Amino acid sequence: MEFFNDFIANVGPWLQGLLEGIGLPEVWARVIVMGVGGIGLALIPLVAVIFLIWAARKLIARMQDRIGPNNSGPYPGPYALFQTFADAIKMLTKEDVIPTAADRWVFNIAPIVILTVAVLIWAVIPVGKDMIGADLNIGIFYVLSLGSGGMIALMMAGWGSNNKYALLGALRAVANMVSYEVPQILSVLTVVMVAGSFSMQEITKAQTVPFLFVIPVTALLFFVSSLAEVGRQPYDLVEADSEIVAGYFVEYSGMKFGQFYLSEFMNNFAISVITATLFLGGWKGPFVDSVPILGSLWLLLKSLLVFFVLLWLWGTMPRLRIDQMLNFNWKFLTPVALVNVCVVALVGKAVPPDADVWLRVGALLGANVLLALAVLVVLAAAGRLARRRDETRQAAQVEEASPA
Amino acid sequence: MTLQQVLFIIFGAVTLGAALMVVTRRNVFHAALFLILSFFGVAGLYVLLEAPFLAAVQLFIYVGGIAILILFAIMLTRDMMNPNVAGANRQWWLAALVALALCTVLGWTVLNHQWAAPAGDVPPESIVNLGKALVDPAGLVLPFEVTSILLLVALIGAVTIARER
Amino acid sequence: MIPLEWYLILAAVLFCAGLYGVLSRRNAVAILMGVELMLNSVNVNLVAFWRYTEPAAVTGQAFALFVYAVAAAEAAVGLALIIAIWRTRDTVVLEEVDLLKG
Repeated sequence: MEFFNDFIANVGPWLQGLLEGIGLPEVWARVIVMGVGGIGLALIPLVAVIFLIWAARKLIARMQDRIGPNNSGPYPGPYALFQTFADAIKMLTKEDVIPTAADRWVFNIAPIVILTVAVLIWAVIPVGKDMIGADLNIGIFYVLSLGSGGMIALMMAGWGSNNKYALLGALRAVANMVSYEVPQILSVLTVVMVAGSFSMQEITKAQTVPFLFVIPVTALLFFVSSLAEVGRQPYDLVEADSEIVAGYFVEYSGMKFGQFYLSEFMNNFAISVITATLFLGGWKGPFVDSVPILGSLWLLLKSLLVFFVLLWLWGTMPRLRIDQMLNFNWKFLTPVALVNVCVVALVGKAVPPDADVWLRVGALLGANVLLALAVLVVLAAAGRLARRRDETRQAAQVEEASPA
Repeated sequence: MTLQQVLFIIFGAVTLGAALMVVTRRNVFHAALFLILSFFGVAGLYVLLEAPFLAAVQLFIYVGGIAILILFAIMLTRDMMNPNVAGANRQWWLAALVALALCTVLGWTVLNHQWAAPAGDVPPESIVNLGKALVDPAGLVLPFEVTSILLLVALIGAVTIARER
Repeated sequence: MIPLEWYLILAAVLFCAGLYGVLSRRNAVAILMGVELMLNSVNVNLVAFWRYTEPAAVTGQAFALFVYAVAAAEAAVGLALIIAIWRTRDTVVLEEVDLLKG
């Protein structure tokens, strides 16, 4: 029972002891144990995605007042739990169509790159107390850098399809992702300032109070810009299923399309987990000190909560146009993110880190709430100005129409 | 052959192979993709040199910024994907000669010098020290601020030059 | 331990590959890619020297960061120029852009 309390941290040395017992030299035993650990980490998103796709379809259906996949047919299982397997089998048996004039190497490598990037993020997610793939001292920065790899895969997909519309879709998607990186980085900078380190494990340990209640404006900024990064509603014009027929991956069929679809969901799950780690406290929760394996359970529950909010937005909000998205980013999110960084830096210096925890939390929370109120006041004034300008313009139009 | 040396050979081979492909491929989009591969190789070398922050910055700025810019420029200036344009101009043999000569001179200089052994370990807080030095008035705050003005000027300049009249 | 010579020779070969790219390619964007290779090799050199002579100082890494910033600025302006040339001369082969008057 003691063994299972700290299962993940204990199974490594146990396996190594087993392998050395059958006569392998120590270096090889370590390499094999690390390989098994790596494969285990890589399997987490791949397996989670199967049930997340099912959950997404059922929940969106309920939000849209329909039932979604169910077991009224001969197969997918009670409550259609195995719907994803049926989808995967369908995709595997489809013909793999490659356009004649497409660039074969580039066309074929793009889905592989995008899946690789989606799996590589999991190396730095702390799944429990002292359980992490690689405790890099640049943890969250590594995650942000990997997003750039995903962008390259998009460009490769758009170019390799030899299709004007795929190319335009890829250019739009990449322009979008590059623009929304600015508020994302600024909000991560704020978190790093408050926590004092880039390392994900350190950020989790520094959250005696979850950062959502300490710097809520930053949490909102990060969540919204990450939504745009992965192209999720309301920013999913880059792959609007009903409008531009899947944008940059329009020429992909069969399992390659399946890989793009999988990578979408894996990215969504990844940002849910990262938001949970950065802002909700990661693996912290009751009883974690005595039974460390519970840390993984708390992380899973928190990331599922964030994923549910993501799905909620998907089912409820309409899609934005590209110019509305870019306007929103450059005219609203980036200035707010910059002011947020300055405010948190000032308050963080004014209340030194070794002061009372609750004083610091209160000061930061107060500063953030004031910032939110100031932003709302500015928005209200801007809205009023725009409305008055519209009214004078309409009045002028009516005036010059009436005498004629 | 320690593990580090094997890793160095792998990363070095990837970087140099990709670099040679960059300068010889006729299809300029493929050359850009090989450039991205060489950036990844250089990032791996930074990790071997115990500068992980620089490796992440390399991926971020070069792959996520400059390479995307280059790909955009290729896509906006291609001429109907014409593969008939030759890749190299008429003086490629002279360029190869000059490059080989420079490489020989540099290699000979490097190999004929007695380089000191590595001097100690990297302190574990090198990122914190780097951050503090960048805003320290007695340190590097002046180059830091001048770099930010340089980036602002480049931003305004690039937008102005590339605008539609 | 990896001898310092290996890093320096790698940086030298990378630099010469970039130099060959700049001197012999026709497409302007390909020339810019050669320049980026040269800047990368310089950075590898800087960081290798930092690691092998004085790892306790921050000068090596800071210098490399400034080189990154300058490279990004130069790539942005260079590519904007290439796009402007494409718009007016309708070519990016630099051999054909040899008359001052547009």
